[in-house]
Amino acid sequence: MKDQIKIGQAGTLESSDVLVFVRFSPLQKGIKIELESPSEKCFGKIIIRKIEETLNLLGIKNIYIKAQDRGALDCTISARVETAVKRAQKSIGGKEE
Amino acid sequence: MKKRLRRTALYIPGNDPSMIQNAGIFGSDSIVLDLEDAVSVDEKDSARLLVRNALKNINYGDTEVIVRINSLFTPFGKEDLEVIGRVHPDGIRLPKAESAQDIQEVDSFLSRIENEEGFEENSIKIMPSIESAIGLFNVFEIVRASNRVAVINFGAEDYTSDIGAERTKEGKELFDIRTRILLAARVVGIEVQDSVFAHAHDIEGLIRETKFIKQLGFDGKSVIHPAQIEPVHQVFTPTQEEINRAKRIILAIEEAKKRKSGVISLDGRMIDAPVVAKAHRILKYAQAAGVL
Amino acid sequence: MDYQVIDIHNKSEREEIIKFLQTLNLKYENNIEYTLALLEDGKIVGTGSISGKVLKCIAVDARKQGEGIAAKIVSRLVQEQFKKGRTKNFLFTSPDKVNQFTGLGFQLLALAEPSYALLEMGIDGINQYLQDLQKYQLIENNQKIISAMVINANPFTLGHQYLVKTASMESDVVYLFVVREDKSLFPFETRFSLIKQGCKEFNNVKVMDGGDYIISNATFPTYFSRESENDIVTGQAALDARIFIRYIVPTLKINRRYLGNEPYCGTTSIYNKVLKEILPSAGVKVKEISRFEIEGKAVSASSVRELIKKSKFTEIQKLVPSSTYLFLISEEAKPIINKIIASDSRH
Repeated sequence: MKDQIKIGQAGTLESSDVLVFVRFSPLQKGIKIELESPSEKCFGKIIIRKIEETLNLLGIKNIYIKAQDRGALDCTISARVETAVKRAQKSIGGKEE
Repeated sequence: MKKRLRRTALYIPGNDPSMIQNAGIFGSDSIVLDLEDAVSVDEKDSARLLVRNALKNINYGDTEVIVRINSLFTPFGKEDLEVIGRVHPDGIRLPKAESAQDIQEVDSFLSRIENEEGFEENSIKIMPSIESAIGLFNVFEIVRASNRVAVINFGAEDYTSDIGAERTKEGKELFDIRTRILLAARVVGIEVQDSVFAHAHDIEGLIRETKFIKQLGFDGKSVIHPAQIEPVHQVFTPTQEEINRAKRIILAIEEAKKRKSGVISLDGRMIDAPVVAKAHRILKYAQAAGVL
Repeated sequence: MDYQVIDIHNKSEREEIIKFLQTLNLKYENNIEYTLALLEDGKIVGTGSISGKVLKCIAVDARKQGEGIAAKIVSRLVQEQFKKGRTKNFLFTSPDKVNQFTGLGFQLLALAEPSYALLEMGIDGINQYLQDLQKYQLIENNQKIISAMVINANPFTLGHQYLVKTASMESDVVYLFVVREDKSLFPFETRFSLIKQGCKEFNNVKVMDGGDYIISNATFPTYFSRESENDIVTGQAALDARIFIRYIVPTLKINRRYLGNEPYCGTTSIYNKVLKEILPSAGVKVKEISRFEIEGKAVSASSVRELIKKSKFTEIQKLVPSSTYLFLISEEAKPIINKIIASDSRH
């Protein structure tokens, strides 16, 4: 059961929030971030850097993250990423359809 | 110790980033970032981190920042304290306070965290909320249980359920709890705030209730909607007459000092310490309301 | 504002939702498994529902538009879906509401004016699906006729085999998509396996999982329900066709689609009609093949199921390839056979 796929999700689609999905998988090498944001052109890089920074602080090296941004502040992004990661870590194994 | 005004405490749902980041602009004296009733069980972990990060990164200016944690009787309370304590809120609102022991437990927790983080001792305040019959019964020991206790509140919904009363708009069923916690607060010299007026769109009802509790002696009120802030502030704004009288009292004291007299009198009446204190307060409220 | 999970089995609670949706000219559809309502001062200001992987019947009180209520409802539904392990969500709505949902982060898959729009959001969406499809590409330079067909095959009969054979002989490559949705009496795994066995002899036929994007609960929900009004079927068929044209056709370079003429099933004949109207304009030729007949009767899966109900296995043997027959009389098939005997389903 150790090397199973683990998933976690946090946040919402409400204004100023960000919906974050994370997946740990034995096949995942490195950090892969997919970002969808209305301000992608201006702030896309900054948001991604914030996500990477949060993952670094949590010691995460291999993960897939998808973030649906709705204009969230840095501190919100970082909180939602941390929550999603912790939820995934706590889960026993993702339910794949 | 900073003596701040606490006319209004605005509840902010702890899982709502939009409200959290704007909490400071509404103009309330305090904000209460709520991890308890405003957050569903599934989202307690999420809200906790959101509030923690907000405290670390958002500048709320002069607004007092309080966090309402979950009761220590729940699986969430201790984790809330552990995480939130480290980012130094101004105060912790403790729901369902029932005994001195509850307060002491939080006190020890906070002392340990303040020590570990290098914060000033006793700098994080405790604001117990009385929400049950047993809590009210023990209110005197609760307010005395720790130096951190700065304000006392109560929760009308939970309390009335607990004692089997009917919750009404008029609020007669709250008479006893209001007067008793007020008394307890005054005996130890702390502040007391009234519970929320839940009908966000009924401003007249809000004003009526606020006038009543101000008359009883309350220092302020919790609010659930930004639109309630200004009306409550207005009720707590002294009238010109009150301001004038307060000014004259202060003047009388200066006069007495100059004359090196021990007795202060104004208009033939003796003025003693509580009256002086009240005069200072009135001027403070007036200043906060911008009418001084 | 308060969230309330509606007890969908409670008639009066359902009525409240139906009434609310009616004020906005919407219907509370069938096969809904979860409904949420948002209340303010005891009145419904918004609602949304879940049906499998699909979010639908989402509506907000006209006077409360612009307050982020749709975002709140959709967020809650997405959370609920995640608890069920669903990491991708389709959203079914009308074309005039598309912008509202793309604003929330949904991606538009296809429109079928005037009534239908299908969007999606989440992990392993259409892009991943198309990437997986590309691995199946068998195209070599001299291949000109690249065909597709979609079958449910509940179970795989000589009629299906005839259709596949015809396509196989007339094309260079045939992509055979099997309907994924498990709303049929024969489960997907079984249907897929019987199809593969029955198509072994055709080596230019690639049997593939139709997935979420071909006749699924998302793209064509009424395909699976017993009765539906014709214009609803037409609208949804158009949606399915548009998705096919927009995504699957260019990825696999399909230029022909084979259809079995369907005398017995109203929904399928409407579907075929819609395909014949829409596909040619996208460069896909439609070939409708008449049903394979035995003793003057068209061989169909429903007739096989009827015979199963009556346990007339010798009759069945005449209508299906040996691979299917061997399965039907095997131990493995017993639970399915029993289900068929007990059922009333159209499928």
